[in-house]
Amino acid sequence: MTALDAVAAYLPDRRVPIEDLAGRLDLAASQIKVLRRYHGLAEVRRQEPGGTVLDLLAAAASTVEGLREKAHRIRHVLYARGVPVALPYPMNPVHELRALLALDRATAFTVTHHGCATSLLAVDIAGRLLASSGEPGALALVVAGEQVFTQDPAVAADSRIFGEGAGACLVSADGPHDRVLSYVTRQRGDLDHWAADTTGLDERYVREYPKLLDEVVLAAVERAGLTLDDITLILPHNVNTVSWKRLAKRLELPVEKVLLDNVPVAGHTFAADAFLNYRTAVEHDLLHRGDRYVIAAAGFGAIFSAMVLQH
Amino acid sequence: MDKVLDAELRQRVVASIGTLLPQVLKRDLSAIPEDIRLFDELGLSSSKTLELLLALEEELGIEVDVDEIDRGDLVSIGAFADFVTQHATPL
Repeated sequence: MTALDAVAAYLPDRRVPIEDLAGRLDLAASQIKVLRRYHGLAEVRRQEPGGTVLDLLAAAASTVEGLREKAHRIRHVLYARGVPVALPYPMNPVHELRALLALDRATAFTVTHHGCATSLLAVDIAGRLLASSGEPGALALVVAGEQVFTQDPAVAADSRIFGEGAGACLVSADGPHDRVLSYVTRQRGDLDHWAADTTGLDERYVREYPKLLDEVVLAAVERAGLTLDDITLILPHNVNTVSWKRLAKRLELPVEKVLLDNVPVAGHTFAADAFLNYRTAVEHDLLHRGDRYVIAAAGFGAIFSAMVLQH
Repeated sequence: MDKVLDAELRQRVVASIGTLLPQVLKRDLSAIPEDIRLFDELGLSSSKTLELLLALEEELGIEVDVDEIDRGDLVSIGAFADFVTQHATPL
């Protein structure tokens, strides 16, 4: 059973109020007001000018507990990326990261096309790779986090603002914690943000999103042999607060069970939200031994994913 | 339980929607009947509807509890006006 051996996260110190991004993101004052009031966004983090994606990823990965001692056991480094074009070709920091961390016995590659739900996919792939090799004690390092590089209109700031941050976790095939009890992912190709014909897509996506998110969370909980009553916490992607408050309402969960603390202070850090929110949950003492929790995310390309884990 | 609709406020909400909608949509509108559908007929998006709602707050000196809004409240101008009236607090 796939398990998260250790999880780390990093947020740059530089805080940027969303108002300061209005010009660059072509947002009117009324849109900023909607983002603040309705979507619960306030500020994001940005690296200092000149900071690289490698810096970002390394800042998270280097604080993974026990990384140095376990480096010789790491067989794979997976970079879970949210958007297809995250860096100018041919840059790919995952190989530099592998070298920087002296993970000489690891292969390094990028996982993408599940949008901001890619970190869950990467954890699943890492677990499968390790299980298939059968090597005792082998580990994989999954990293996530991006700079706000692309100007793709699909990532326009209409209901979320992207921030810079990174996460990293060590995955084992059968470790004692945190054990992955289930993973469900679904794609709705007809709602793909990058489809050839996107006429009316935004409204259809908005209309169908709640149901698709509910379904995948419930499916993951059911696949884990649990009910929602067994779930201590939901770690969401930090797209906004309103969609998660509504999910809580629809599923009749207390909204306090959804960790939304990072939405106003970090924004949406692409696929790193899962690890960032995990760290926040642990630091705020919201997860205790044996607790079952859900990590849930939706990604560009109409991907809906949920993973149930036990702390 | 829903609050009893404040008929006078609702009337002002509908009148303000008539003024603000052309600004939000950036085009002229002739008559805007209450049963006109915001998305399908007027071409409003979810985010534009929220902009309209916040513009209404400013115009009417009210604050609307937006956490409660759902898609049913955005079906038509009438439904939207009902929602705003029911969830408004004077500033």
